[in-house]
Amino acid sequence: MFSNARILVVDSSAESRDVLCTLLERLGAETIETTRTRHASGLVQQTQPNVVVLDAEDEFAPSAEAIADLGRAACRSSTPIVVLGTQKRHLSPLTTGHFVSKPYQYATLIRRIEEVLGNRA
Amino acid sequence: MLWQPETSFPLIYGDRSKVASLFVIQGRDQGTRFQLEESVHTVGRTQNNSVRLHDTEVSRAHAELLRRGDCYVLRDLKSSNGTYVNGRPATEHELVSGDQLQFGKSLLLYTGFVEEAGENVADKVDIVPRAGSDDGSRIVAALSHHDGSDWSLSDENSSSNPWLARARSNLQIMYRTALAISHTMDIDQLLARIMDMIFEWVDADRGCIMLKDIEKNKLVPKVRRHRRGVRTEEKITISKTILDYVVERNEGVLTSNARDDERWDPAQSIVKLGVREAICVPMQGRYDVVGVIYIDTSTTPQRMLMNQGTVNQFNEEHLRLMIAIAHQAALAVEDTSYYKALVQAERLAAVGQTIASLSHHIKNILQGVRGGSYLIELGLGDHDRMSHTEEANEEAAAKAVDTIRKGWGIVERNQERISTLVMDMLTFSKEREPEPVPANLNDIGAEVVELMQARAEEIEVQLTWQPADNMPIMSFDPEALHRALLNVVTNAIDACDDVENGQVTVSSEFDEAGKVARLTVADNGLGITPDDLEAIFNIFISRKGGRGTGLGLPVSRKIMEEHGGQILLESQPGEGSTFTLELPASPQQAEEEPAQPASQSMPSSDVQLDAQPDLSSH
Repeated sequence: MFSNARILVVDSSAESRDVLCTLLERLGAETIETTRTRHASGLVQQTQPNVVVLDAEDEFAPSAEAIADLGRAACRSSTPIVVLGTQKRHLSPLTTGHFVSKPYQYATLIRRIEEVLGNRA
Repeated sequence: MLWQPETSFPLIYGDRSKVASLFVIQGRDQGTRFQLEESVHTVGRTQNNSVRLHDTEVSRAHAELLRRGDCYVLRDLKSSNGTYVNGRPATEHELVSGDQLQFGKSLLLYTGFVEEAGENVADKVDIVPRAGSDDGSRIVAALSHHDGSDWSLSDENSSSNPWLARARSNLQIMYRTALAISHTMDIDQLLARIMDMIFEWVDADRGCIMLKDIEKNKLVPKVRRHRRGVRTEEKITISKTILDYVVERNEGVLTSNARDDERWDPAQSIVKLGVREAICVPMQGRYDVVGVIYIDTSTTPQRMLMNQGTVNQFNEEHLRLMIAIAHQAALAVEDTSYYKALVQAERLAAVGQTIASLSHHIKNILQGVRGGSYLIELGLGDHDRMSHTEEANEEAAAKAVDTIRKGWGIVERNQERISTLVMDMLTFSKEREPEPVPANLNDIGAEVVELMQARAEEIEVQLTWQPADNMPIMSFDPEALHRALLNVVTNAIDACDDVENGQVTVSSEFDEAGKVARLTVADNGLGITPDDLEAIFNIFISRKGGRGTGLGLPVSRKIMEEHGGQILLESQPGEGSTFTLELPASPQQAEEEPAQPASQSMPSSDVQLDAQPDLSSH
């Protein structure tokens, strides 16, 4: 499922990105990374990823506008978003996202990404 | 701009004065504070309400608060038990600061937004350098605060005018009552003081103050007093009828059990206990009666006989005075109740904030540990699979080891993070004395810079160290100073994240004239806004998003102050900041004196545990 998949990872923590990208690449996926949510919407348009993984409890507290921009960009290209961290799902501007609560087990996260990729296929 | 932060550690979480709030001052949620920031807030007992009250007498959707400009309007949503504002039923009410809202058994205090000044008063008042220099005014009388409160000084008018004398006396009583209760924020102390004042001014034998317990809906005695010589084991019996009358009608009463019958026969009264007079007055606060004050006195049969009839020790003037005192007391009781509720709310908010902040940081660290351990698990799995195959694959083996190593590095870093968090918490929470030893500040600076070099390179920030040549050996706690400097340097590097050509320079300086040593950390990062200059030294306030624990700078300041030093801060938004850790210099004399050889240390048998050491020899 991960072969030839392109995954955009949006997370300001270098450590978290490192772990997730290492795991995804082991499974054959291509990863693109960015530290800032505000850059993510542009990257979605440019690189057309198969799925976006977004840390919603980002250290730099992305603005609602940045999240909304990302949501719109993902919607236009029908790119699913896996949202990490937020407990208050009904408050998330990304109402169509797939949510994984923090702290998560990486095996669980990988399975969720796999499901999303599977559904898309 | 050189700015020196204050030494106190106020727990301030932003500018609360600009947010309307509801404080629960009675009820199961007592102490809870609800900030009113939205245009609509609902009040009810279910969790979908923004103001949720755990009160069975509150309806699911009890009321709502609607923002209109700079105030909120309270609207009852046809609740079962109604909504009350300041004791009166309300269906719709525009709230002002100080309003008490009652939902079920819960009583809430509303504080509104800060009122904007209607005019710039500063423009209308002029302070001139010297009074009297222009218009000829001079000081003709001056009185201290103490003298100003003394109304007992006689003057020629009072001696010939009894009314005036009484008025002065009453005024003095009121003034002293107001003074006496103005400084007390503890209810029990306040009530005791009020009782003392009453006994000072009124010839009562016994007295008590009862406060309303809203939950139990009855008056509860709080303070009891007996004049010396009066039997204290005797219970003070108060008629419920009188109490109900006083509370319901909000009227003070003077009662006497003496017969008004003109045919009263003193001879017959000898076998009776005498006459008891009593005054019972309501404590009327701003909105409601908060309690009652009761005093009584008894006239013995002997005294009655001596005075040939009824002796009225209490009269209407006493009653008026007591009503006035009771009103003052009620206002003070209300203030202490609100203060208590506010303090409780502050404490709960602080505890809540602390728990939330710590949970957030620990959760992030846990996530890091999970990530690192998962990589180690994967790497070990790869290694195990290879060991079961016949062909050795060096590349795969190296990859497996790399994965394990990467994972271990992550686990190790997060171990360090949790250790730092715990140590900062301990350092901040404990009053600890530094353990000074002879040490060199330059060593501390070099260690910290070396430790942070990897982090700086990771985010492409240039970190440099410029030690002073003349730094002497000083006496300080090296571990503590290391922590203090590390926190400041970490912040400086983080401030340069995302800044082009980010630079952090750590330097040391020894000021021989001022006898002060300094460690300076200068960065060209984002800078700090004037509003945040003091706030960043408050715990759990971090401007680093979720990354900062909010403990670093408060801990650093605490450490410097424990050493008799301080932290100074200069900053320009957009240009950068300079933190200076100042340490009073006491160049260690140990450098000049030879160390004692170990064989000369005093054996324990020579130590006299029960004698004071002779310090004069040192």
